[in-house]
Amino acid sequence: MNIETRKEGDLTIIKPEGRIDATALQEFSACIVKAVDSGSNKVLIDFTKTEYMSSAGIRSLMEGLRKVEEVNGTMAVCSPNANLRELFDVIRLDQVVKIYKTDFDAIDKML
Amino acid sequence: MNLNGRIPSVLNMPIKSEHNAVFTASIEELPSICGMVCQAAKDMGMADGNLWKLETAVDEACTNIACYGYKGRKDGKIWIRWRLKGDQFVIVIEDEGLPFDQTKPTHPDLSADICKRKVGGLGRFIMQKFMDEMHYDRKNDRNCLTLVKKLQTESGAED
Repeated sequence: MNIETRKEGDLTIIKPEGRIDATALQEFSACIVKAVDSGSNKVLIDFTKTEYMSSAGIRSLMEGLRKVEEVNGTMAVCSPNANLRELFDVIRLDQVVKIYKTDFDAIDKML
Repeated sequence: MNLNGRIPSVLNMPIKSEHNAVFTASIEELPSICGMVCQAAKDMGMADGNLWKLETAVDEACTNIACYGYKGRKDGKIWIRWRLKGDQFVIVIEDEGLPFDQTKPTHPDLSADICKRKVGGLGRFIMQKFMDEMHYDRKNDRNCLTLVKKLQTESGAED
């Protein structure tokens, strides 16, 4: 899978593309870990280009969140499509991570 | 029996035949398995709003088979059969891995405390939420998991 990473101030924005399933979870997790290890304690996962996510993807997101919390950091997600939004509702993801509708909203609030 | 040239009506009914395929039980096959099943369901008229839920359930089931059922065995197989039954898409997923009932209720911890939140069973939880029916049987040393999903969404809208 293709994952774009960029910085805006002290915020690292990770933008995975396509499917986040069991085949992609290690790469996705590694990206979040790398951001934290390189000193970033604010991480935004931008799902604009993510079409699909399974529980394996959720698991890697949770692992990433634990990593961010270890350094007392903040992680949020933004721009899920309608299917992802429904999946997040089912698993009540909003109880553990802030979900923004757009990257603009997220970046504005997190910077 | 003299039919006077009439053809019994049953012969005019569309044949709702069963289709099948076999895959190697590995996570690398997931996109192929999901793609094939979704295309079949789409061809049978499944609405987009249900297609992705079917895709998710098939993905979760096959991931569990590859990762836990066969425990990393490289020669494991997944047998898939599907058919239309009325307004429902029925798919049967079989494997020869360890006995594993994926329909068993699961209660993953969805509480707010991330440090205490366990993600085990999340895949089965999602499957159970997204499917209309799930059935499990163990026959001839095979796990047989049946997933049932209506073609249309509850509102009937083709979203």
